[in-house]
Amino acid sequence: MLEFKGVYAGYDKENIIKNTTFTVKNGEITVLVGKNGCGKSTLIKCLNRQINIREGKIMIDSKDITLYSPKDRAKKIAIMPQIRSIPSISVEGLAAHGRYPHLSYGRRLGEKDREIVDKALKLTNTEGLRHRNVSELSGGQRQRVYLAMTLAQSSEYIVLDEPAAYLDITYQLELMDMLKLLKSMGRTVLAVYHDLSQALKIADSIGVMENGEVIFQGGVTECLEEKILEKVFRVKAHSISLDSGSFVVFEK
Amino acid sequence: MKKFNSITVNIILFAGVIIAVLLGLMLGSTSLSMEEIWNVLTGGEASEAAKAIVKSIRLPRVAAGVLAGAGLSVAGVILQTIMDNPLASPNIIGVNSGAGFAVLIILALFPESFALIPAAAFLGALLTTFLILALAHYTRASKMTIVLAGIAVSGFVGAGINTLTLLFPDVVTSYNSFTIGGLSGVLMRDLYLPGLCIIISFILSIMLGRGLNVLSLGDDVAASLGMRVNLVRMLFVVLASILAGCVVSFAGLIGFVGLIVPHVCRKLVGNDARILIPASGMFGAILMVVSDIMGRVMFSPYELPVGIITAFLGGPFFMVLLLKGRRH
Repeated sequence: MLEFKGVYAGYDKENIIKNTTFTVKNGEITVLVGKNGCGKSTLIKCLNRQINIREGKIMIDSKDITLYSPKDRAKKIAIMPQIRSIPSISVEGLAAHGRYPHLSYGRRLGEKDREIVDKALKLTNTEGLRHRNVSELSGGQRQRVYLAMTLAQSSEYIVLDEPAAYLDITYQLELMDMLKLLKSMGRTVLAVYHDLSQALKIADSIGVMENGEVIFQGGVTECLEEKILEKVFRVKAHSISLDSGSFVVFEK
Repeated sequence: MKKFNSITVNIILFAGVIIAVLLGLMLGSTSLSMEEIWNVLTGGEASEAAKAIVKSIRLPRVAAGVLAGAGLSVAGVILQTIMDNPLASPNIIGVNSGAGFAVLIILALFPESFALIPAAAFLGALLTTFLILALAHYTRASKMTIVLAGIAVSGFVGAGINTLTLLFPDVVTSYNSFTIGGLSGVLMRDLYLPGLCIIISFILSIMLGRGLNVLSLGDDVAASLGMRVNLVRMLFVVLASILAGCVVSFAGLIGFVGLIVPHVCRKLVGNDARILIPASGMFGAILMVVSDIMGRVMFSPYELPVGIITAFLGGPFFMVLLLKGRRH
């Protein structure tokens, strides 16, 4: 379990994250939503210790995150940040960087590491791109290669900061399938989502942030019944039923 | 992205270094044959003149060329990668201004103590780098703060340099020859300590190559992979400043090599630091030794300092490479 317990965090004097309590349960897809600038990405940055926590605690499997060495932490949680560079290396090479926390100093990639990287490439449908240069790929392809790198970290928890941003709708839907596949494989997913309909469609548990605080966490039905999203985003939500299931759409 | 097998390129470059070194020993105002050089080096029969030329003039000079070329190029690779800035060179971390300022102080205050110049240049370069690092560290050591702190400190030190040249106008000639950079008159004893430091830093940077690769993915990704980003970046800045500072101590301010060699080698072997660093080191060594040979042969008996030749050679070569890259 991944737990935020009364966390305060920020860059300068001001706290961007205030009194946040939030839980990611094992084997579930937990989705975090909120308006731009509400602190979602900052919360994610607390997980790779890019930002120090001022008050409160973050626990990974009941152990304080500050007690993990960076590499041990990276073996537990793999984070795909929102801002990623566009390196000029092969797809295979980028995905293989996911093994970094598992390579002690001087240890080269072994047979087992390569198998794990291969599996990650297969899972993200990037196997065919293997020898291509990352800088020559489309945005959607690149996103999937980074996902492959994140998966190659073989961590229990996978954290994705806006994984669907700037992607064509085809990729967005593919990504949802991929997350469900990961869940079926027993991995735990925490994803920041921009698209509310998709968030509601995929989440087992949904967290809603406003002004640096997680003001709600619970199931999708509960979230809709309590009209949380309607209050935070000032929209109206409608559930519609199609043959393939129910969807939530929003209007002003 | 690489176009050639990286191991082949490294083997060819290694052969190139050996050829360049041999040519460096053979050519000059008096040319020596391969046999004469062999005899001098192995203690065989050779004329006193040949012995003197090889041992006290050409050998130190060629060794200085290899060390300077390799040191500046590797410093360039490191700085360009960690700053994520294709224009980064040792200058960006204050090496040039710091070394220049320290040398000027020595020239102005102890005009007879030329022997102090190497140590002053090295210390000046390192002190300035550490000042920049301290400033950047205080503000969280991001790429941007290092660059900005570098500009601020270099500007301040530059003002000091200008003040000193106005107050002590008679040191300007010596100072100018330091800023142009050259390998003439280098003594073997000036090379032992910096040479050792350059070789150790060179090996260390290859060994830490994977860290450099991960760092090039950006701070967020590197941190997520479990790297102590700021610590590793600091470590590389220190390595780069030692490399460049050592070179400055015996060769003065040789520009351009640290900037262009990494770019050329990226095109040849790709971006994997573990291959790019040895390739750049060897390419830099070849460029420096060949430039120095040209400088002393072309207008013999006059000599052009190597810094001028590297710029003359490097500029057009770099341009051709850019134009070629565009057409593909």
